[in-house]
Amino acid sequence: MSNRVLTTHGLIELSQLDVSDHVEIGDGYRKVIVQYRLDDEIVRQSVFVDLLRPNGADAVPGTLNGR
Amino acid sequence: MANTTAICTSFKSEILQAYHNFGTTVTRGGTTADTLKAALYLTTGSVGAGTTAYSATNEVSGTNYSAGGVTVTNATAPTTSGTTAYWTPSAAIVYTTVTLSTAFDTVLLYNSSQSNRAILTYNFGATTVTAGTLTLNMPTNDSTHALIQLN
Repeated sequence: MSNRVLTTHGLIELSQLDVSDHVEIGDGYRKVIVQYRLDDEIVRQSVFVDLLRPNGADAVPGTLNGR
Repeated sequence: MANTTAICTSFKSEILQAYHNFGTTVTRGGTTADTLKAALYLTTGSVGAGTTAYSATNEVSGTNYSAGGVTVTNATAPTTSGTTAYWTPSAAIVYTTVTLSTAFDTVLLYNSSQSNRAILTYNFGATTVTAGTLTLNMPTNDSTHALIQLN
């Protein structure tokens, strides 16, 4: 069964690509970066970001803090 | 139970739903939920607490990315728990099959129904996407994790 991936070079068989992922954790987020390489060239990179910290916790609520 | 001094919790939620207008000019004409959008900004930008409205300055550009960004799914109305009002987009914000080669790090949520007024910015670190998908997964919509909390 063909399993092709859209890349900067068009559709390429997944079996021809080296796929790797790594996780980056920062202030208020966790990011998973998935890279598809063809002969060491990145031909596709997707990013999935989990937003972890409530936004405005130090800003907006500071003006509505029950007083 | 004694009388107390407080901002009413219902008011916090109602702010998010535009029940109150303290200004001198009524600017709302409808009762349906506004359309919210999410735009991405380059690492060289300066969006943040001081941002008042969407601007194309320092916005990302690239294949399959339209200026102004994408529409935010808003199927869940603001609600309250305890004394906290909160709201979170009801689905992930997704930019599909984009190529964004210049590093960006921040998303701006803004109200495209109300003159593109700014709502919030969120920095998630320098990022590029190549012929792929950027997915911004939302936190759990509860009083301690929601994207917007009015405590």
